[in-house]
Amino acid sequence: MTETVLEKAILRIDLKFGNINPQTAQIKQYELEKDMRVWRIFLNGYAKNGFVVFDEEALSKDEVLNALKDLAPEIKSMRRLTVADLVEESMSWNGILGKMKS
Amino acid sequence: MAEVVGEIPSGEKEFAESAKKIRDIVEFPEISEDEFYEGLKRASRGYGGKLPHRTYSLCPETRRVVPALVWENGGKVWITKKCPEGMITDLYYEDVELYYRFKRWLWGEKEIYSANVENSGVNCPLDCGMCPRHSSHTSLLNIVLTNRCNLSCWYCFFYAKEGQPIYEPTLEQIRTMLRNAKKEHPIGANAVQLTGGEPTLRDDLIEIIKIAREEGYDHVQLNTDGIKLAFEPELVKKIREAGTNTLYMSYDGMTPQTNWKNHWEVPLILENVRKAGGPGIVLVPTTIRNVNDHELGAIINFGLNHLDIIRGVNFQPLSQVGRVPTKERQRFRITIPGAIKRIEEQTNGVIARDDWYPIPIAGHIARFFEAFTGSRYYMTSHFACGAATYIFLDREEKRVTPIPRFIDVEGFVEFLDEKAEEIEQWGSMGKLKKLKLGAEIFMKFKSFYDEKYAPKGLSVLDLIKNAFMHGNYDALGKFHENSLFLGMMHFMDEYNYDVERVERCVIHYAMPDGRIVPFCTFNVIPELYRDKVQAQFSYTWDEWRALHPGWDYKGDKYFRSREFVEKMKKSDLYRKTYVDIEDYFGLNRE
Repeated sequence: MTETVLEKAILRIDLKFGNINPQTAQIKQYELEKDMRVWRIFLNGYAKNGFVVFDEEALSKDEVLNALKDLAPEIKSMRRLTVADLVEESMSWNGILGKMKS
Repeated sequence: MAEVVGEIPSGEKEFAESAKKIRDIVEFPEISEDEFYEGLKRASRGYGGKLPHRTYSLCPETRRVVPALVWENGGKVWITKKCPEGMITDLYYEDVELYYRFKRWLWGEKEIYSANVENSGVNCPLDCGMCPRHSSHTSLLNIVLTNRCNLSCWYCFFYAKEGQPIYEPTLEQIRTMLRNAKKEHPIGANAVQLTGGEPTLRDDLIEIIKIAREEGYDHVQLNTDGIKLAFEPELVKKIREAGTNTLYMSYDGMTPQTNWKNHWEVPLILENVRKAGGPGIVLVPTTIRNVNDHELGAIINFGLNHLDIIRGVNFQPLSQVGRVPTKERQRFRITIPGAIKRIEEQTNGVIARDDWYPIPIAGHIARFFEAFTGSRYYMTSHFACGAATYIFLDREEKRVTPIPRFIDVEGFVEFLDEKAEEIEQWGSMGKLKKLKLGAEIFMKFKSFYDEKYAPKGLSVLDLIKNAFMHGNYDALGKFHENSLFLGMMHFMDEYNYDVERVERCVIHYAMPDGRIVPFCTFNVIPELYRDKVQAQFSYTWDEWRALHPGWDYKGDKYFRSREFVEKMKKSDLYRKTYVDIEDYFGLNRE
């Protein structure tokens, strides 16, 4: 699996939250992050936004939104990518502070 | 106890036997909820503040990140947190004076300006990766090569049990992980530890070592139990030739009971390393109160007796994995000052408390060398994470001397700090200026050096002269031949977890999903890091067997036979290794 997993299609949803604080963000992030089907997650209780990257084949978008429903999520954007893309985007040469996207 | 032989070593019976005798217990102090919250109010904040100090910790059950109080009581430093499951206190540091002495050398600068995850770190340590909040670059990168293991340690949750998925990154993934850490900005990783499971189980290990070299790593170390190296001398040679600098070898004590992992195999391992001309060995004793903390001096003595191949001893005070009842924590918890104290007692004061320095003191030395040579080698961990010293052996006099006995280390480092500041203000430095400065440092060094106490056969002054005046570091080899590195590295667990320490961690794991994670998040929160990500990238049992048709799970395991142990007991090699050795600390004198 270790080679084929790189081709796996995953979905990234960027979100805005209507009802979130630092504590609820942290608790919810941990809850979802434990799930093997979630590849990356960040919920910011201060900025009231965040994103989840997950395996859409195994975990539907509705399930993710349902898990986040207490935080009143609103989808800002969606992007499909592969695990290989996620790995590449994580490389340190793509994340030099001051030159990063976010 | 009688040796446990004729089975795959697991250590369960030996540990139970070792833990029977309770020599001392850590009494945790009482603190009420009111006192805790009052303490938090008046506590200092920010790295390096005085005690009581406010930090964040992790709840063992709920995994919430909660405020924690680092405070003093009875000459010791404690960490207390209020978790949903109740108040939890644990020992943070066994000696408040040493805490303050080490704190003086903290390194507060941020040394990394690249990140692997898109987040701000507000949920630290639940979204590691590394994030922009992290302060230290990777000094030592760990890459897990496999979760297969030849032993079956009873406490280990990590190795693949029969039928469980197997994690083994491909060569391409390993290269990517190496490159990722190498390209950290502005200082890339330069040292890598290949670990497991048991990394020697991989058939392509030699190729992996070569890849690490190709990717520009100057230091490659292999974290191993050494078992395969005991029986495959050719493998030792190949490992050395491929570019391995160090075997970072588990070595928990001097008896088959305390060192059940490889006591019987160590004589063969040392012999094979000698024949192969390396790599140098660093012994790694996991140090546990009431289990093997009475053997620390003897382990150092053992290292000194095999100084031709043993380069160091790096003690690792126990990190208590998983949920641990208070009574067990009181029984087994030891911290860096506790291990240092025992070493002082067990070496009859030869290696004393004041002979140790915190790891970040190296940051101050590196600052000077960066200014002086232009190279960048920082070591910027939290001051409570580690300690180190060097001891020198005068073989003729049979005398052991720690480095601070003949060099005023603190004075010299302060002087280098001043010089670094001076050079940084110059902007650039011509050859002549550099030569003059080198000469000045050499002359000044003499005032920090006391020849009377220096070990014979080691010309420290020549070494310093070559390094500072001629830029020649070859003489450092001589330094290593006569010296033994002693280190301490205390990895954290759920109970003594300090987020401020994690933020400054310098020992990281590369994960195949592109993240680089501090040691104490990778292993302490395995459900988010180690176990989860490795499971995402694992082969199912069936996939693995299909890829490796001849492979047999039991074939990976080491079976220690009674015949082998009997043969070792009677061998000259065993005697030479353990029995007919010098007693440099008067350990056996009445």
